[in-house]
Amino acid sequence: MMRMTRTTVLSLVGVASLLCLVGCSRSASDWNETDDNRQAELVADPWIGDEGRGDILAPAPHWSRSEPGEGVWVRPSVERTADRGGEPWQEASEEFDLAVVAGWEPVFVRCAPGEVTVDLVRPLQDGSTATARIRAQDGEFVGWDVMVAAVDLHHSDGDWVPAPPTHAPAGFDLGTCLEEEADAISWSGIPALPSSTGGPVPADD
Amino acid sequence: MGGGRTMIGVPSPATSGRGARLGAAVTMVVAALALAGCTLGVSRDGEPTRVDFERAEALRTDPWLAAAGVETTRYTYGTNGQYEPGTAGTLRPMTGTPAETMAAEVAAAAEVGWWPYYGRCPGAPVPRLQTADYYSGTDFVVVLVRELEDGSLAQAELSISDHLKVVATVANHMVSPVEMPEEVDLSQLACTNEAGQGLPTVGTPTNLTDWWS
Repeated sequence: MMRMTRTTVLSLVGVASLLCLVGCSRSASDWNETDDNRQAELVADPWIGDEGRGDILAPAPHWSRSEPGEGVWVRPSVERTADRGGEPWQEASEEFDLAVVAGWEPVFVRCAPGEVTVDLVRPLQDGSTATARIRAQDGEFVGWDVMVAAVDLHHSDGDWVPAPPTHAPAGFDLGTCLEEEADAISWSGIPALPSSTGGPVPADD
Repeated sequence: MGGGRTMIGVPSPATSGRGARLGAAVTMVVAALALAGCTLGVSRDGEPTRVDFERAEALRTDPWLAAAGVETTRYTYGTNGQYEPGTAGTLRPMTGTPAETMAAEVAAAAEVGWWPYYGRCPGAPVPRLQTADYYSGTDFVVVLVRELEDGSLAQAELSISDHLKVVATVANHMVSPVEMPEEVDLSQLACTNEAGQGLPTVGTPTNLTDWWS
């Protein structure tokens, strides 16, 4: 009887553990070849991946969060920051020129006194669209005066994630905030940069 | 009777081995659950749905906000099934005096449908917890609201110390709809005019997107 009880208990433990490993940690996706290739292409981009222009941060490919159980994932992405001490509009303008040469197209711009944000897009080899952001601003509180970041979607991102635009919307106007300091807040287009993390799969899917 | 009797809470040698094995089994189950990310007894009703993704998307594509980061609603660690609102935020430099910086941002936000329902001058009494104003007493705080396409409300907290911090939130789909707050006139605040005449606060800092709203 004792042996039967122990066997039963151990079986229950095994079944419970298996159920939890399978069922409680849904969608904590690791990267596959698609994500590796997108990441590699972003790092190899002559503009965003230029190590001579600042400190480059690329995420570790295997990371997930799952509590109480739904997973999120890191998207292929690269971030570069620098503290050069220039005027924000000049810093943004310099990065913008290099981005355009590398094949990036602007889709959103936001200008403000002491601050410029530009979102750009570029197709990758697998047909996906990468999105980048240039952000330049005054202020010691962020630790940099120019930041560029690029993100592509993860293979686990489904149709609940809107695809980035492939071109600027009709009527898009870059304005003059890459030529001189803006004296008011203005913008054109729609912000395009996705978060560098995606997921989880919607609970109603 | 007395010799073979096992007192409550004091296991006999015969039962202590069985208890140890059962204890080990339970420990293994709990460990497996923890490793797998399970949180026993926690409601998962708040796990994000497509509604939550659409609300977060509304923050991500807001051109006034142009947020540095957006996070969809997520479980609040250590709670019994509570969820953080969808959140977007950014830090911005000052563009003049605190009054000038705040006025410029509120005016720009109005172009995409935001309007103020609360304001507090630096030095005014800080409201109690669980409101939309949990900032330092020395901060200049304004809270904006915007109606989303699904009829829910987004909230944007603007606080100024030595820079401008913007935190915008949207409610989890499980949060009951809240009443639309009334617009306030920020020019009534003493800190918005050079003479310093006026009120220390206007409006009520109701949190429109909190789990407990």
